[in-house]
Amino acid sequence: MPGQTLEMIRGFIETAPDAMLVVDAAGTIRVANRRAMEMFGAADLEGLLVDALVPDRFAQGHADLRAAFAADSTPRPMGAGRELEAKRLDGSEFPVEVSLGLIDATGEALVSVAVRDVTRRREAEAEAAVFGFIVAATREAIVAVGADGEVTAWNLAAERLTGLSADVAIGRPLWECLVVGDPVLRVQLSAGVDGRAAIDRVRTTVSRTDGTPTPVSISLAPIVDHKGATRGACALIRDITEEVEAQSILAEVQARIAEAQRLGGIGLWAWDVRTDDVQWSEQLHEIAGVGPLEFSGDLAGHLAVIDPETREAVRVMMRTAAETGETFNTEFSLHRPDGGRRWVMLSGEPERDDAGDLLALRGICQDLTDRHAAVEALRDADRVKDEFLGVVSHELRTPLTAILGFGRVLEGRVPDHLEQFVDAIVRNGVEMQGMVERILDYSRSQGGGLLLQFDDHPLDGLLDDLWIQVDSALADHARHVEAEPDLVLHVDPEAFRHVMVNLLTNAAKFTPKGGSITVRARRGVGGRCLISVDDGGPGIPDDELEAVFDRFHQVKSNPIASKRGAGVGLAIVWTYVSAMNGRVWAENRPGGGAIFSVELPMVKP
Amino acid sequence: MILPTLLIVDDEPDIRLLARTLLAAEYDIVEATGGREALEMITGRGDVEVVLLDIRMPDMDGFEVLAQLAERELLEQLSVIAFTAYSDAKMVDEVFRLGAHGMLRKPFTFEELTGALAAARGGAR
Repeated sequence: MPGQTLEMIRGFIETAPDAMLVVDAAGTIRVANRRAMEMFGAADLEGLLVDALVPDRFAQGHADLRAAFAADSTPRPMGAGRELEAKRLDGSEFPVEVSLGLIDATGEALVSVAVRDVTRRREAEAEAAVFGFIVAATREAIVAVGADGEVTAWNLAAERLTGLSADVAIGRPLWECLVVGDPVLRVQLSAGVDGRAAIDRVRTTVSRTDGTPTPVSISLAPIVDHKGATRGACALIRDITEEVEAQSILAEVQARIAEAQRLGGIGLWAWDVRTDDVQWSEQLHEIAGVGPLEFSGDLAGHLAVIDPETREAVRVMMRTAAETGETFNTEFSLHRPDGGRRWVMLSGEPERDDAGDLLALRGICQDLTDRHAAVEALRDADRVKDEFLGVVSHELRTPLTAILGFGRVLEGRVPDHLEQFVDAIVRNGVEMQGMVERILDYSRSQGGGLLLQFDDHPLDGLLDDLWIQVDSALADHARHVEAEPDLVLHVDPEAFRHVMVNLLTNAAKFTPKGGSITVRARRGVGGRCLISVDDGGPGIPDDELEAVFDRFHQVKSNPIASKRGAGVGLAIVWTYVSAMNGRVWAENRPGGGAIFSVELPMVKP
Repeated sequence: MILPTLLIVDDEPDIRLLARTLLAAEYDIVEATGGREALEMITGRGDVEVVLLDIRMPDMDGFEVLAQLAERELLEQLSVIAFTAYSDAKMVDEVFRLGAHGMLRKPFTFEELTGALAAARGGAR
């Protein structure tokens, strides 16, 4: 073959965009262009057997196929239906596409071979396959539309979401396939489809073919080609049913908590001990009367609404809790900027990290204003009642002065048959005077600030003073005293007298005429003296043993109906004994009669 | 026999009557229904020696009467015994601070009344 022809062929194939070889019937490369040499990594390919450019495992097969091509040399792509690979001279392999052609102008059977390196394309195809798999498998509906607004892609999730298969959807207008709940939103979305706007996660619903809506979040982005022209849009639609349900449950729970906080007047607070940040819940802002914008958000601001006289104590309590990590609980009054006052309970507990280091104190602040006011009102009412009792009792003294005074004037001066009437007037007057005096004693004992003067007093002397007082009350009864010698009490003598007078007159009231009343005194445990008054009465019903010390309590089954009382005597006893660091209780003696026992200190506590 | 003049000051007529009844044998009894009238009688008559003075009265109370008597330097010539249904320590202190010579608590017995009068008159002289 003339070299001139080969040169012509070389010149010709050098202009081809692909790597080109010219191979003779024996398989020898006769001509190769520069691209081919670059592709196979060779300085020169001419003279090589073409089979050397085929991976070794295909080399034998290649020789056979080459022979077959020689028999039927119609131009065609090589290896139809198979992926071809070529081998560089250094042994590395790469995917190729090969086209074969016959050159018969030379008088010798030559084959032209065009080789294209398809490494890039294979990679892109592999990526696209993976990407396609992702698109198919993802739970988000992914749809694409062309510039004409017709669906061009419709993945499995889109099928599930709408109930429309890709076969049906593709080629139809998007808004026929994707029925969006909010028509206004559809206009916006249409703008996105037209490439006029990007839509990021807008919420709406999409109806299935049966009409049931599914809550979704839609994002839309235009598809732009390499020239910047809009080719359509891609939409990503996420089914947010679970999210919406979870959010609705969360909202419900939050609403309930908020409602409970509002109804209970409970605010929440947290103090980050490292940053000094203090956070208040909405309800706490409400209670304190300090809005979120006015609140400084630190401990100083937290404490600022507290009354100055308690502020420091609360600060110390919180600081201590922050240092020791102990819980705390306190009540105090808040002074709101609007001048209002609230009585609150503040409690807190520490929050620690995994290492046990204190992070924050958090707790509640509960508005107890109403309850506090109710308790105060009750106390006031109680105080007013005691004052009223005192005033009424005092006022009774003046008419009693006249009743008793004139009664006594008449004693011995009226005809015999009228004498008993005068007796009755005086007797009742005296009884009433006794009641008035006891109510006044009680009223004084409740007045608060009982000013007791404690000192050591021998019991003998205290009792001697006592008998003078109760002589007339115990006139009809046998009186016994059984006391250990040398007992000395550390008491207020006046309070002690009140206690014993009331116990003895109470005993006299319930003991029938001629019955005996016994006072016993002995050393008890712990430097205390035990004094008891036994009466000869019917005893006290078991369920009233404690209640007898309540104010205005009257034992229900009092058989001695003529003996009335104000029901305050034992309440006075209780008050004075408690004020003297003692205690008093009642019990029944087996076989009848009540025993009132008083335990009082014998030495200064 | 000329009895010393005793002025009973109380807005309660029954108490005035009681005191008059109990003391008629020993005193020449005159009565005033309130503080103002009492002051007028003491200054006007000039013969009042003993005053039984109620503390709580509507127009001028016993404290004020005592204060006025002290101001007019009349307390020295009188024996004033205050009497009241109220008995708290503060009231008793106030009564004596204002210069009363005795104190009597309602309701009082005949013995308590005469005892208080004797003590006050003895002390005043």
